[in-house]
This record gives sequence, C-alpha cells and structure tokens, in this order.
Amino acid sequence: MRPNPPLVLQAALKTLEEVALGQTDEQVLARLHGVSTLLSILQREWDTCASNLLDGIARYGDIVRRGSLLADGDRRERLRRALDAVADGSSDFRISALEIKLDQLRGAVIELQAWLEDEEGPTARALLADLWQAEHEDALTEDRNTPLW
Amino acid sequence: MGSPVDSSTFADRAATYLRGATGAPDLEVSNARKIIGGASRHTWSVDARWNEDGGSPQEHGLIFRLDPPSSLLESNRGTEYSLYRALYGNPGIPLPEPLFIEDGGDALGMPFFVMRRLEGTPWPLELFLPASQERRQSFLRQMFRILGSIAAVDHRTVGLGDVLVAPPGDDAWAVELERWEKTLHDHDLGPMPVTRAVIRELRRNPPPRATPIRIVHGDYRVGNVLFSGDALTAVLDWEMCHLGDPHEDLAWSFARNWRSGTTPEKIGNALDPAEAIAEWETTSGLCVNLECLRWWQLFTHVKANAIWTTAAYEFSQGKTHELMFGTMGWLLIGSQEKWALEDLGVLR
Repeated sequence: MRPNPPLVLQAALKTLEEVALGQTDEQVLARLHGVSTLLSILQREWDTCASNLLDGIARYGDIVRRGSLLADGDRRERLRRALDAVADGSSDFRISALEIKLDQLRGAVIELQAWLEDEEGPTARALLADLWQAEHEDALTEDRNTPLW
Repeated sequence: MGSPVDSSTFADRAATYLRGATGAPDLEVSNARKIIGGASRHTWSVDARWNEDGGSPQEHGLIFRLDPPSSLLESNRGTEYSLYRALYGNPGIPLPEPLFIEDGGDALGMPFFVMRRLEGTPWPLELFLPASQERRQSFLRQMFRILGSIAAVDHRTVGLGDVLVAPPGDDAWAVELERWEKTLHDHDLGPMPVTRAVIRELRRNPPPRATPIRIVHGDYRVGNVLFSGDALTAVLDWEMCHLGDPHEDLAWSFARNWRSGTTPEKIGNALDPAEAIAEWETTSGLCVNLECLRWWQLFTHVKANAIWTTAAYEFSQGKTHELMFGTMGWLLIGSQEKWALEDLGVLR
C-alpha cells in the first residue's frame, strides 16, 4: 500500500491531536485519547506484526518439537499433531491464520510445560528453562503497557 | 425495564426519580455528566436542588452508579451498597454517604444506587509530577493506613454478617483462585501459557491459612480513591468487595500495574513496600506474613489477566463497543505475563 499505512496513521494521529487541542469536554478528550492509543499501536506494529507472529511460531514450534522428542505415548502424539497442524497451509500469511497457528502451539506449550514441571531429568530441566525464556520473549512482544508516570 | 439513559435525558429522568425518593416535588437536577472510566458500572454526576418543608434551600452533588449492559465484572449492586451503608461513618474509612438503591430499570433503564458526591479527583495530575514526591508519599501513606482500617473491621460487628459470605474452611485463596480461573475459562480468547503456569504454581504452593478473614475491597489502588487538597477523601468502587485474606488487598495495591516506569520498586513511585506495610500494620492491628503476601502478589497476575481478558472477550462478542474494552487486552495482557514471569523468578 502506498503511501505506507504507518505514515497515513501518523497523519491520522496528528489530526486527532489538532481536534483535541480545541476540546475542553473531558468525555470527548478521553475518547480521543482512546482512539489515539489504538492508532498508535497499529502504527507501531503494522510493519512487524506478521514477522512477530512468525517468530513466535518458530520459537514455540522449536520448543514443542523438542518436547515431542522427549515425551512419549499420547502426549508425544498430541504434541506432534500440534506441529503438523502448524505445518499445514504454511504459505498462508494472513495475520488471522498466523494467530491461529501460534495459539495451536501455545495450547501445546501448556500441556508440555505442565508435564515438564514435574520432570526431574536434565534434558527436561533444560527444555523447561528454554520454555520460560520463550514465554518471556512472547510476553515482551505483546508488552504494550505505558507506565502511569 | 425503561429505555436506556443518555446525556440528553439523564437530568430529567434523574430528577423524576429523585423527586419520588426524596419527597421533594420541586427538586431540580442540573449539570448531569457521565464520569469517565468505571468499567464495571456507569457513573453519572448531577447537582440536585430543592427546598425543605420549611423553605430552606438544599443543594447537593449526587453520584448515580448504574449497572451497565456489559461489564468487566459480575458484581452485586446490593452488596456494594450494603458495604457503603455499613462502613459509612467509620472514622478511618472515608466514604460517600449512600442514599438510595433502585433494583428496577424503570427510572433510568437499568438498576442503580445513589450516593452523595464528595470533593476530589482520582487522578490528581500534580501527584504525578516529579516535584510532588513528598505529597505523593503522604497520600500513599494515607492510602495504606485506610486500607489497614478496612482490614481491621470485623464484618459481623457492622451488620454485614448476612451480606458477605465467609470462604468455607477459611480457604480464601482457593475460593479466589477458582473464581478468577473460572472467569478466564468463561471468557476464553485463546491459550495463555504463562497465566496457566502461574495458576499451577499457586496451587502447588498455597499460602498459609488466612487468619483472620476480613473485608477485602478487591480493587484498592490509585484511581479508586479520591484525593482533595492534602487528604484522601473517599474510597470508591467496592464492586469486587468480598470476605477473604486481607493480604489480597495489600498485594493488589502493590501490583506492578500501578507502579511507575522509572522506579518500579516503589509503590506509586514514592513509597517502599516496607513503609506501606508498616502503615497498614499500624491501623489493621495485623502482621503481614511475607510468604502469604508473595502468594497474593503472584495471584494478582491471574486476577488482572482475567479482567483484561473479560474486557477483550466482551468486546469480541459485540456485547460492548466501548473502545476501552477493545484495547485493554492489547495493552495489558502481554505486560501482565511479563511481570508474572519476573515475579515467578524463572528467568535466566
């Protein structure tokens, strides 16, 4: 899309700022602030949204793959099914499709993690440590909190 | 149920209701405005004027708290109103005077209760300026002394024995954890591995049994209290109030959500947790158990994410078009999980 959406969103934010300058009604100002927050997030993440999701899929995909090698029986089967589901339609890069894949892996991660937490072996411990790190990177990608002051 | 109110009709409909409730046929309402924020109830402020029987003019600011069509929380209006009635007048707990409760929807389109309006603001801008460090510290000390006063109240002695239900077997932690886990389950927007890991950790390592069980405000923080001048003038928003472990309120008020970006180790950018605890212990007459406090601090991540998820879910389901509900999940869930991982102490 030309001009690129972040640039257009920047103009929209500037417009909102100008509208807000003339406002004294705190209801209206609060609503403008809400719209401005939303547009800011979209502007910031437009370019990186798909690649962040692909990074998340790769990160959790690696964890689940390692988990599937460590687990056995039904658990191994379920973890493999999650990996297979993510591999299907791998050329679909719509944001909604990528989010579904990431959620499939997150679901598998929940099962894997609950199991690993009760495992004692060094391989399981190492995988659990890496899993915590993967979750931290996932959280950092989604960390949009603005401190109050 | 009457039709919903809006800014063009609120004053007239509130006046009609208040004439009946007060018995003052000449009562007039002006300056009706919806107050921003408040995701669990809709809040309106009005000025009401009338003449007493003897002719003396009365003028009062009133607050209407209306049940919204969609809410972040399933809360009981009657319980919240009873709380205000029971604790109003307690010298250590500043509250607005509760006046009327209306369980029907004829008057304003939905049930509501009415309180007297108190002076003050929940977000005094000067409080956030670096130069206000001392004042901020003073406010925060007041906040924790008041929270201690709430924890000092035995609910049975203030007429709440039949209103609030004590957790069975004093398992306050289990009741609350189940409640918020269910909230997450009922508003499922996708798997949340970190929040699930926190829930497992909380179950594996429960806190020491809560003694005594006390009134828990449920959402005690800056934003839910009013400041005016140098005083904290009111504790508001009791919709999550319940009986439980008083550490719960302390932990919630310590949450990372209400801290600053520059000095996250201090509460409100000004007060060390140890100082807050000391203030709380002075008025509560209780001693903080740090192990217990840590459990409840970890629990705040579950509760907070359940609230943010509920907002996102309600928005996704089209039950509300409030922008705040739509953006809450975007803004807060990831941050909450980041803080949870830091508090779990599992990162390399």
